[in-house]
Amino acid sequence: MLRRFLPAATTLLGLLVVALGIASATLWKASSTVHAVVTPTGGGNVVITAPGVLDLVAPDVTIRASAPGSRVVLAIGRDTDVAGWAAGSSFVRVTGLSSWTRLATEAGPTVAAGASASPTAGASASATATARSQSTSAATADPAVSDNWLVQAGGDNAATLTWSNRPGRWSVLAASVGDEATMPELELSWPHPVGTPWLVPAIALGGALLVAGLGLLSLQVLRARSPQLVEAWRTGVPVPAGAATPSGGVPDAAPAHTEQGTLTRRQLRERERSHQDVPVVATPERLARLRARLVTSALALLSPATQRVGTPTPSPRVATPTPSVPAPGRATSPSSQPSSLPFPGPAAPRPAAPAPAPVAAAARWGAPPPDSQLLPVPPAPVAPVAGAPVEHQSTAASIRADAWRRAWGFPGIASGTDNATEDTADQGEGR
Amino acid sequence: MSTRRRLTAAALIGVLGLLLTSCAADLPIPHPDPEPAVPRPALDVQEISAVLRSVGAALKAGDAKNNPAPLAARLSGPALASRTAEYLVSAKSADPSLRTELPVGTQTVIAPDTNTWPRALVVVTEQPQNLQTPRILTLVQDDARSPYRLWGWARLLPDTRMPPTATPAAGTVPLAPNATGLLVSPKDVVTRYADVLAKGDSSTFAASFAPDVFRKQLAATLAATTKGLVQGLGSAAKVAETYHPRAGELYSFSTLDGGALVIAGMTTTTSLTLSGGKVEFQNDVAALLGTTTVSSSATFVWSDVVVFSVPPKGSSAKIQLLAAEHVRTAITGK
Repeated sequence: MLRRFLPAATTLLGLLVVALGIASATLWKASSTVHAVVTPTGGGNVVITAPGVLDLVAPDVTIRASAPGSRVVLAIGRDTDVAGWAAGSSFVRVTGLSSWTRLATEAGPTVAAGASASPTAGASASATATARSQSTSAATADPAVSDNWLVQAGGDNAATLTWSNRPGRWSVLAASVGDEATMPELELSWPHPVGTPWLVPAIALGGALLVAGLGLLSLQVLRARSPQLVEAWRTGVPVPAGAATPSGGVPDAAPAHTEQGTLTRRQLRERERSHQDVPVVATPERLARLRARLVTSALALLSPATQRVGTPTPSPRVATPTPSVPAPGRATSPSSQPSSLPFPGPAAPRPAAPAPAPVAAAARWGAPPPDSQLLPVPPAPVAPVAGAPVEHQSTAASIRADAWRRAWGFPGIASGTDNATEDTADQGEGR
Repeated sequence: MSTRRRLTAAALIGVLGLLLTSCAADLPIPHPDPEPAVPRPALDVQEISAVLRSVGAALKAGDAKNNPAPLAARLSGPALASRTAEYLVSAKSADPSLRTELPVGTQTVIAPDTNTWPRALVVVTEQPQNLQTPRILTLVQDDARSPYRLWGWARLLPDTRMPPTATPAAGTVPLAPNATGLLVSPKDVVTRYADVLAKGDSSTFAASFAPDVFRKQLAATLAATTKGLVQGLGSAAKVAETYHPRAGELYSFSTLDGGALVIAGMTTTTSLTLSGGKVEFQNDVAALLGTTTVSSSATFVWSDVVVFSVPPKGSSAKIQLLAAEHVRTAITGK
């Protein structure tokens, strides 16, 4: 059952993978900008970043701080300077990303308003210095007056700053200034070059699946429509009803059009009627072999049942017990195709086919097939006799006979088992 | 067949899973540069220029009206005291030349390699327009939230040479007051120099200091004052002068020759005691004193800034006074 749906499933899977790949590069593609925000709560008015946060995603960062109702100052300086400045207030420190849209923070030591604001690193600060910083440690302290910042920006309600990373340890300080200053909201935005690592692999894989699925699908259909062609492909023989003369055994037979003259009218008609004469144009041996291998392995994937169901064999199904033939027996029909051509031309244009059987067939075409006595009696049970254990020659002969019958509109006959015929084919190819 | 089906299903799930998980990349974590073993300069050249421009602007604003109010933002310590006194004097006599000209263009900059406070930045200025010797400006940031303020200035003494110091980009390591590896620790340099000033050549430390113009001038001024008073008042007038390094006002930097540049604040007090008669003052002194005559005593307070070049330990060289400033900041008397 699974095999019957394999072509369709493979095709669908291929489509799905391609679609997923395209979606990964379009719909699901991450934003080319990373915006990360933190909205600290608390009594302080200062937000700083740890060193390394500013170039977390990309060297260029846009910083925005907003605190409605107060003046906002943004400043970038050495991490020690920023930490030293912030130590005078209650502050929040941004330590990294908690998600792609949120900044992770940790609270700095709480500094009560008016309490001694001894800077972390300024332990050696003189008494006067401490006294001075005390007087400015309230929320009204304006970092903008400091000499320590490389760049700074200020504005009412919000401020924006851009920064390109440079060697060193840098931090940003965002402070809201005013009597009723609240914690500013800090937003960092980085351009984020987003790759599409899955696009090419997904399209390649999906495309391969798609091609394989479509190939299997068309093979399935083709096998149902014209099993002979498929079989011809499978055995690697370009077969068809091309050459009429027994001299076809000559390697590298002339192209079809040079043979035109030797074709009977019927043969020409046949050729026109059926696309099966496509292989009349000799396929290069190597290509044929490759095709044979491909088709063989593809057929191995396909359900034999499909063929049984879908194959309208060229022969009208006479009211014979054929339908009742056990499935395995019928499954041999593909392998019986090589000679079941519309017209069993005796000479393959390219007789150097890996399987010598057709060559032999060509040589023998003049004589009626030895199995022809089977013709009136199509019962299946006979076929197993020609099965695996039987020597290939006779098997091939029965296959040819069958093909011959089909070609002439007689009911096809099932000969041999699936395994047996496949073995024959495989061995023939193996040679 | 069932195993194959299972395998197929597993493969499908695997492919889909990979596609889905690929959409969520790992969050980056900060990778800051490592902390340097020696701190980077606290200020880069641009920041130093900005600081000096601000100081220059504050001085200009104050100079315009002899008003010390604008100075507080950018001046402190002896510089603020000296400038305030100079304003008082120059306002009284309407003579701007009584103010020390303080250019802010730089010849040499010593940027401190430090993460801590207070921080001191030293600048050797270009030559002033009045063709006096260049100044050594010392700017101090008391704490992380303070601006750099001009703490003191000193004039380079003639025939002195600045010891070689590192470029501002590299920065100079500040030294502790008790730093070793020097002929004399920075703290001791100042106290010993004060002793030499007080005792002259009879000081035990006199031999370790090279002779300098500043010391000579102080001694000469004191001698002249004493001589003048004695001439006028005889034994009724007594003059004494003391020299005290000011606590906490000491900034030292290592120099490239292994020595140190030591900058210190010092207070010189000149006391005048009269047991009879009176002394009349004019001009600048009168401006600071608030009156013109005293009959019992007068105290002159000078704010000094002294800059030394201290050789490394083991050197046979002497400690050299590179620059000094001696500004009268207060006079009291009655």
